[in-house]
Amino acid sequence: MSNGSVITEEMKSMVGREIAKVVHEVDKTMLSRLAEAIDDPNPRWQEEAAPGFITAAVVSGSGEPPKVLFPLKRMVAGGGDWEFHLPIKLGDVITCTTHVADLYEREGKAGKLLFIVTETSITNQRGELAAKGRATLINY
Amino acid sequence: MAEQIFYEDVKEGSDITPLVKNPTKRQLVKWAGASGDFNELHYDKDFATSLGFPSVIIHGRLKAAFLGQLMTDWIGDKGKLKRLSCNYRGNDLPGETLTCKGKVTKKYVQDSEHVVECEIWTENPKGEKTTPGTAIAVLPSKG
Repeated sequence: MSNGSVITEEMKSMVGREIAKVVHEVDKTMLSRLAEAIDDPNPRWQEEAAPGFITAAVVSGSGEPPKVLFPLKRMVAGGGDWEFHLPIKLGDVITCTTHVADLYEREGKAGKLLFIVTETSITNQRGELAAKGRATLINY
Repeated sequence: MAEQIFYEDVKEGSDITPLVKNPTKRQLVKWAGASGDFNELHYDKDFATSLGFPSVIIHGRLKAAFLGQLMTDWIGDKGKLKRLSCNYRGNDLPGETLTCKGKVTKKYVQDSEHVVECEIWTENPKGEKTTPGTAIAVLPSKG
């Protein structure tokens, strides 16, 4: 495995592809469950999305990238990057659209590391971009 | 909540008020349900040890959420968090104290906003930075 690229033409063709689109009505239950799971008692998060609401997979990382993008044995989450543009408030309806943003590989100590980057745009009911999230998955 | 912090109150090198978290397995299950992340690595010990992990580990996205709380607690209701990035470098285990920390690396005014850039991280009981990252926020000015 250490010679040659693990990234095939088929995999390259997936970059840019939409893999999930989910719509959430931001209700009291969703806000309070996430605030409770983070254990953040700030009452503000009963009316507005905490940053951790946006880092949640259900908002900024729904959908598994196609299996063909994971040719190696194991997978771990490598990191994330979030931009917060507009507050997301109780009663908003958000659309979270995820696509494959990038694919690259590196040589690790124990062999190839393949990085799969997804990007999610979170728009509100007015079509405004409220937040953006990028997540890196590592296949090794 | 602490008193509102202002742009004028911070210097490059200023520490962010630490946030101490004591995540339990129960909290990981709550996060799995609330956040929709059902990877077994975070609640099934047999699954986790079969992959070579010492036990279940804390979700990276939950650690990112903790770092988000570190920032919003510190910048207060008048501050605005603009960006948060982190790497899930080390594995953190439920039952161990996880301390979120940070410091200001840069401050400047841009487009009439009072911006602070910060280095942030989570620290395990051994003092290792397990989730290093950066954050950008806007603070209110006394101006």
